[in-house]
Amino acid sequence: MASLPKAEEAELRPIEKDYLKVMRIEWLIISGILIIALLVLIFMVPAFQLFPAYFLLAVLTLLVIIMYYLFQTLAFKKKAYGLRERDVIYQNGVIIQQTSICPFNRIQNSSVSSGPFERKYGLATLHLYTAGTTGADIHIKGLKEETAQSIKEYIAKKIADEEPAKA
Amino acid sequence: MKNLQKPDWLQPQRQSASGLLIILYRAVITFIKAIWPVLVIILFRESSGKSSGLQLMVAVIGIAVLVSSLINFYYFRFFIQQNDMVIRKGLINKKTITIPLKNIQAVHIEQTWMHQLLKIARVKIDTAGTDKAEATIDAIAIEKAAMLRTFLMESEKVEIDLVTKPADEALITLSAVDVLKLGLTANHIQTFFIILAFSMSMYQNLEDIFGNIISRFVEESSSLIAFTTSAILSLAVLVLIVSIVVSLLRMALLYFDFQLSGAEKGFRIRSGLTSIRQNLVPFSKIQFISWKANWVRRRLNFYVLEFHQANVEENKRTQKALVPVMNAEAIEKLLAPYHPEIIQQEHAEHQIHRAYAWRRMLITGLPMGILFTGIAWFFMQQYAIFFMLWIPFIYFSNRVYQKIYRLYTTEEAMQVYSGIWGRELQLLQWYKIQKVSLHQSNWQKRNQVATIILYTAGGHIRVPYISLELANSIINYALYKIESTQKNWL
Repeated sequence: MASLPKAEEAELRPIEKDYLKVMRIEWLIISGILIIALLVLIFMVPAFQLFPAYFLLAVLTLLVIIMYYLFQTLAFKKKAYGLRERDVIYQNGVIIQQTSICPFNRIQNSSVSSGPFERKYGLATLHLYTAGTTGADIHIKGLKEETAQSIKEYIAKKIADEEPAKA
Repeated sequence: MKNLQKPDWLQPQRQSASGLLIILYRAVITFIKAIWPVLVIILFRESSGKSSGLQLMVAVIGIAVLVSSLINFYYFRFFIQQNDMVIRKGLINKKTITIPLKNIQAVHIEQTWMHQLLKIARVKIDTAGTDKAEATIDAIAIEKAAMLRTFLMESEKVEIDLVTKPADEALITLSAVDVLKLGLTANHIQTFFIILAFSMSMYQNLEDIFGNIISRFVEESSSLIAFTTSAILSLAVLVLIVSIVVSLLRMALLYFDFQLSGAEKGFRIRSGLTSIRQNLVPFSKIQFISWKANWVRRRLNFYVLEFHQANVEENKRTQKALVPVMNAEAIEKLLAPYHPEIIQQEHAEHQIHRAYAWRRMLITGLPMGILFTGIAWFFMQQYAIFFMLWIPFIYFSNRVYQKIYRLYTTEEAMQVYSGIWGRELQLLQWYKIQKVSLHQSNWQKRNQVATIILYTAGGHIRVPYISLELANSIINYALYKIESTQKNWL
């Protein structure tokens, strides 16, 4: 057992710094929606127009927005990925840190996607699908578009090389 | 149409133009599905000034659905690139799906009545996984569909050997008495909650449609009944009787005339009262096996065993391969094609961390206890404090769980033994794993403890609160087995 390669010692790479900007855009949009919702609530519902109510509501909204911002910073810092000879490692999670490892020979198909904000910074998400049920896939966010593509090809090649001649 | 020339699959191509009709039809259906409660409200409410806003909303959603399906149709392309089938779609959210040809297990051609009318077909590409990656081409000329299938299947001869003709040797049969026993020993508390949930959702649906007529009716009729002790008692008895009857019915529906027979390549399960259900369990598709018993059934040595299969065909999730087992030897027979029980072999034994109990209490027991008490306070004031007992209850049940929990490992497989009142056993061969995950909260990090989750194509197994060292060595060993075992997991 001692001589097996140790996944916990594998070198992990952080995701692209630009991805934080994508997250911040998401933050801006969601904060905007929250503030609009707050304003609508205050102007439409008379009960919220009395003194402590609207004040508390505003403070609460602000608190949520700030917490969300800090949460994002942490979430960004925790994301990392690594490739080993026969598997891929992805780490994320703020409250609970998760390290997921998926062997190449269990990957069924893969795809690269990019939303409008990701594309603005030339970023993409790499999706690796296994045959497993819910939660058994790996989605690596915040990769450079080229990196995502090349990892995808690298894995595809690895699988093709590895495939033993089927009896 | 005979001399249709072979299409060039290397060229990116769109779906059939007449497929646009199908796509529009589907858009209408999704639209109606998404919005039917609102439609019902519009229909049933007398039109007043207010409903015009609703109508506007419906129109906006309708147009959005329509436009998005048109865009999806227009930007959809599929083609073959090297050894992959590639599907590209989307305008705003671009998506490329790549499926290695050798991973394609089956190509289904389907036709709804609309497809038949338009002489087109839907092509579904089954990979060895689930339907997550949506490799579906909705509309393609029927001849072309057939050619695509031949092309895809020829490129790599993959065939799933299903159980063809089993020599029907019945391993397990259930008599009517067995079904009765199963019904009586079922978890009536669970049944009660199913009934409760069902009636609540029914009630809610009715209320959505008919407004507050029902709630007024319920209120009026319930205020007539004074809640005396005897009323509550008789209500409890009634609930119990209803639960037992429903349990009996459920078990009869599931297991009436149950028969499991063994064949060379798999088990065949047949059962059913109203409609006969057949379920094939090819040995190769078994990902892991679990068997469990509640407190009563444990005394009687009744277990219900489940084969967790990879759902390659579009097995409905409700179609679980469940086998009630009335004696221990039967379990042995059922496990034999997969892996024998570990406890009988030489194995290593592990336990979970002591802190599991109070951590669970902190995370689930405490907030729930306070919430319950808070809600109950409005109804029964100081008596609500009894709901605080929930917290020690959670603590002690998790303490029992932690004490009983065992993880057994050998070179080939692992087995989990767990339960509080009842027992559940899970048996997993290392090479059936698809992905491993290690989870740690900050507390777990400080205390060198971790939770691991082992994902398979038939579900996952979670091993909580083991030492980090053990977690790492299990993960490294599992990865080694997955990456080096030549046997196909399917």
